[in-house]
Amino acid sequence: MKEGVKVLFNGQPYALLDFDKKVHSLEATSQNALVCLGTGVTTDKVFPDKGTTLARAIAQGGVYDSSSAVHICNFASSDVLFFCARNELSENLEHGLAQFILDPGSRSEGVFALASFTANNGDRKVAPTNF
Amino acid sequence: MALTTTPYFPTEADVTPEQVQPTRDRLELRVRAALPTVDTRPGSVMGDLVLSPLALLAASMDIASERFASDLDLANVADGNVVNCDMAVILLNNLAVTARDTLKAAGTVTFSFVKTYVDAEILAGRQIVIDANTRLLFGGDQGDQSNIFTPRAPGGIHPVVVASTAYTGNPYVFRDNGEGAYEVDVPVWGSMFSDVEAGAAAELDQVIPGLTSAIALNTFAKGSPPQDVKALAQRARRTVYAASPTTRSGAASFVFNNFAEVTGCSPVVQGDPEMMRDTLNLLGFSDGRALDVYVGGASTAQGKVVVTLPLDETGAGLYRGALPLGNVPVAIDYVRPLNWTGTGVSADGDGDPVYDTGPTAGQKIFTPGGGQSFTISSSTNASVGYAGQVSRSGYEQFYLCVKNPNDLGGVPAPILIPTIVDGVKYGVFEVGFTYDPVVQAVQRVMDTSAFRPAGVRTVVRGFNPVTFTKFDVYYTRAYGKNVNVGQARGEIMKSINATSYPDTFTFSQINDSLLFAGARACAGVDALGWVAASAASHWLVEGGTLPLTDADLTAGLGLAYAAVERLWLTQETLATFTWQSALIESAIGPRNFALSLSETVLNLKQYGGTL
Repeated sequence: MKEGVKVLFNGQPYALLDFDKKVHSLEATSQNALVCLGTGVTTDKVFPDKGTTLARAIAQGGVYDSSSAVHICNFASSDVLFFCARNELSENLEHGLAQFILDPGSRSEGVFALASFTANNGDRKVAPTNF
Repeated sequence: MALTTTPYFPTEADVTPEQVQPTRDRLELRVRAALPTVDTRPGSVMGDLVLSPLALLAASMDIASERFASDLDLANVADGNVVNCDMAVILLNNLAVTARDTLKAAGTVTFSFVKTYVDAEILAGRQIVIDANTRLLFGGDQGDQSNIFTPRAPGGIHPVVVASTAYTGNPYVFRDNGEGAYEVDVPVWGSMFSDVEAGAAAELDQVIPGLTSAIALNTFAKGSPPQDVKALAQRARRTVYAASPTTRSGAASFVFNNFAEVTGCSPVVQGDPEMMRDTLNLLGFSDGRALDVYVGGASTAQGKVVVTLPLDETGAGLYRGALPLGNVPVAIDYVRPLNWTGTGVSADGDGDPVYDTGPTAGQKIFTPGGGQSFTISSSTNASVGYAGQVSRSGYEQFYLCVKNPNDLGGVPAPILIPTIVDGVKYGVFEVGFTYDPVVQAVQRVMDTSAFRPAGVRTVVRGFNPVTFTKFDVYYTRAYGKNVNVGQARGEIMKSINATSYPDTFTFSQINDSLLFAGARACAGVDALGWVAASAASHWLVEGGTLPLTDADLTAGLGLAYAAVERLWLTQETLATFTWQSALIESAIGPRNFALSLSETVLNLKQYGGTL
């Protein structure tokens, strides 16, 4: 089981690190997946395949109705799922990401989509996301 | 960060993910081994904020280290792959190679003296001297930009006049040009800012009594001032790794480093099929290592010498004596009697006697091959090698025999009119020859004590020229395209005549020239040429003596005086041709022949129609 430092995604343009708190199991995995989701593709010098086009699409007005939102979210979740699966550590497979769904159907004030994470061992977690 | 300012450290853009990821993998393995629960995956705090930047830095340092090592390897620098020129220059300076070490421009100058003045001086016991510090100026006074040369002979030049009897070789020997002047060729070197063409006259900074002119014999080579790091590194590699005239590569490096005018150099060592001086002595020991250094320049020169040969009147009579050419001839072009008459014989356009009628009408009677004159190759120093072992070097000495043609039983014949001095009859002959000035220039330097390697017997020799008598090039032409035949001819001539070992004759070099001139392709080459190991017509076989009478010559032909063979080659046999003669201890192979193609022989023929 891998442990990481808690990252606070609080709707700001930057994230905060809370070194007093640790994340582990699916929470650590889902946190990494969210980082990947918010990273622009090709912006990472080490892993150019890490990231999605989601943030850019939103910034450039690519999401203009629910249909386009579903379309963009499906691509982004697929990219994240495959990237996380490719880079999962062998000793942590049970906490690896088995399913990642980004659902924009419940968009509301402060919430862009609901992110649903399922681990290989069946654990499940849902978190609201915003950009 | 200070590291990023060094020339070796790459920018982020220079580092690829393929270079970083293996480094990150190695770092991650170490972290996982030490702290198994820490999340190092991409996206994690440890992974993205520690491992990845650290991997980027480590990969950058790897690259910087590789670049630094690359600059330490002069092979890379010599190829032009330099990362930090300052570093490479420091390294080169530590090897004592600096930009001041230039290869001087060089060439050969023919000094002409008034013959009567020289004769009088020598009769009075005085020497003609060309001081080593004499400055020769070509192209007028341009101040610092002038072409200034000095003789390449420490201690100056003391040319001597050689009688027609045997002489032992002073390297600087006057040639009698038959026009009231003595000539001597002197290698010079210096600095050149504009071209010095063959035939350019030099101004001297001091008066040399009796001197009438100093003329550039050949177009001077520019030298190679190493102005960039690449050239410096190339020099360093040659100098540090190889430039000692004791080995094959060392000798070649030495020659190329010291003689700008040399365009081809092929050292032959023991074990090569072309080496014939590696035999054992009488006691069964080798006499030490032997090294034949074959050199060639970009162009040849024409020379002539007038010799006076005494007549031995025994039997039919024979004019004979040494032929002091003062240079290593590529070919002896003609032998021309200067005082003759005859019936049934007349002078051709060159003034040479030719038969008016008969099967040999129009043929030059005294030119080698004409049946009346013989040039015999011998060695001036048997301890260095016999005739075949030192041919085309400064150790080769020529002996000219001209049969007295006055007694041919009533058939038409030229009659040579001898000059009689103190009751002895002499014939006066002009001998024209072609020579490559760089052979003597290189030998004069390599044969000095400063450069003669201990334990190695070195002989500098000229390449054996493969003289083509036929060189037909067939090409195809695309429809609607014109072929610039003149350009193709020029390119082919240049390419063929620059071919000497390690380069060999290839169709591709002709093909390239044709393609460049607009042809579609080279369809084939039909070439025929010959090569001989000496410019003489005969060898003096080991143990033989030079002929003094006509009977000696007649009896010795084919025995003591073996004919110099003309070995015929075609385009197919050129690449693999080797020949050895145990009788005269001579050998020819790819390492010691060069190609010689004249304008008149080269024929370009279009093959079929257009394609």
